[in-house]
Amino acid sequence: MGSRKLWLSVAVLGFGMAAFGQTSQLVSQSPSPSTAGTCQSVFTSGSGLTLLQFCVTVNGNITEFHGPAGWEHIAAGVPGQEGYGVCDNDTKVRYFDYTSDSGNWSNAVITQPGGPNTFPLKITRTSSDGVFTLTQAFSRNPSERIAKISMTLKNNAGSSKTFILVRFANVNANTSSLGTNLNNEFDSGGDSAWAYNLGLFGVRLSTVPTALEHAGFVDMTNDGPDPCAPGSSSPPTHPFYGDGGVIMAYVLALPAGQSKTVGVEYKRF
Amino acid sequence: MTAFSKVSIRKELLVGMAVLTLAVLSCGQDQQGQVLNQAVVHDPVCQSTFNYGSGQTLFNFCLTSNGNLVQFTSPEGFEHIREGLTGEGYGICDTGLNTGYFDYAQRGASVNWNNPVIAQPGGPNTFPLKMTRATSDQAFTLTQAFSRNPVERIVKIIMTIKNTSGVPKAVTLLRYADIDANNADHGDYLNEFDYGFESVWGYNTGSYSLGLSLVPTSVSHSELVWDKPGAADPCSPRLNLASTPFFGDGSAGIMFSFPLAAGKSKTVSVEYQRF
Repeated sequence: MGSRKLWLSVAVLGFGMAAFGQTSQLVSQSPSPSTAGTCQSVFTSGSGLTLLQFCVTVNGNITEFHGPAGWEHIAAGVPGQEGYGVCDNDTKVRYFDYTSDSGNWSNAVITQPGGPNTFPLKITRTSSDGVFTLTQAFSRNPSERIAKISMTLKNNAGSSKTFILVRFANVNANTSSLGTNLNNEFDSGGDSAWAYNLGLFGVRLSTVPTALEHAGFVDMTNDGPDPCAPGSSSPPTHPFYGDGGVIMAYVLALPAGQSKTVGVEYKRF
Repeated sequence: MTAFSKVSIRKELLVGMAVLTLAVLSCGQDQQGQVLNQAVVHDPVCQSTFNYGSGQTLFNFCLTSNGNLVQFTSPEGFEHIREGLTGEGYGICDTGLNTGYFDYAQRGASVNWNNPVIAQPGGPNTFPLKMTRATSDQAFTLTQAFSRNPVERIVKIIMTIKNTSGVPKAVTLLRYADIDANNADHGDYLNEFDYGFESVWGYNTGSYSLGLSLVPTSVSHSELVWDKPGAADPCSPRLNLASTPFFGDGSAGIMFSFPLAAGKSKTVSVEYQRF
């Protein structure tokens, strides 16, 4: 498929070095807790079969995604791993917050006129080196069981930069019924990556259609992807069954001072 | 995926076209030519076409006058239904009498339907759009109301079945699609299929997917994957079920089962979404 081929070609040609042998850098950045996944806002709509409930942390992580009633898909008894990553592809510096963060972020600024648990909700966060600012705007579509995140990345540096922007969730679909079994079926496409159990529910991470270069990936490690090589932990075969994660990744070429926006959605299906 | 041969069930367009010309068809044909017994076939002529966006946001679909979704294109250049013999539609089974009523466009239609009545105040290619069809034995009336969500690439179908027989019935109502995602995987007709509690979908890894989901309901339902493109017999829906994940030239459906008192109606909703 076209977009996947394009992504792979860019990965090989432009980011080839990032794809191999650099995962250790991610680990060496000593992830630190980001408010331990505590919910800053909880959003609930519907009930029973139509229930959609998700929570957003102060840093903009969706650590719970629940629906229908009694069925949790991200948290597995503890706050779930979900969030975002940015790679400065020029310097290969990684920035991420998958509930535990990379330690190179400034504190988040929350814009929420109605107070906690209300929309509109915007969370803005700048890297501690000031290179970029990531703004997340959260919304939902209850009838479609969708939590939507608009992500705007602004290049604050004085020169053009290419960034890789990643959204990731360690999906643990149907954990409320499967107990300690955190394994799901996983697969991905050009616009989506998803996890489910046969005959049960699933969660799909999708992009809002965009002309920006992008791809969905499965993460078979569930640790959260290396933002500089988001496809490097893809399973060798598909569909993948295990305790994995879902990824959407974008390549953003940004002139100095410019920004671009992408949208992602989590949908319970 | 590698365990499956990609050459075993390649479809032959010419065979399919020849099959189209026949009014009555039987089983035992190749996969592409497969339709149900005692069925007529309807050419997938679009009564209404709906187009949105372009490029990555393109979302085009069309409906026949009988209420079949016979084209679903998204994004630009990627068709997921109108490939080879086009199959999409609805089936009903009066389980007490074991009488089936179905219309799957080129995948076959039973002959026990009256002509549809279309309510579309703005004319073809506009919403609102409602299609009502009675069975020729006056047992049931099926009303389909169509809508869409272009942002989410969703076609929504609200199906209301009314028992007009005068006696209580036990009913199954089926929505079926011969999914041929990604231009039938660029011509080999091989897709991955799987299902969940409320959804069933066909796709190719790394490419696009077409899913059929229900709107959450307390009505009893089953999600079905068949290992053939045209096997959705509403009175024998579990024939030819695939072991999933299934890779091949299959089809997908959602079946609702419920009692229906005389004169009463039941409404369920399904959605097709490209993801």
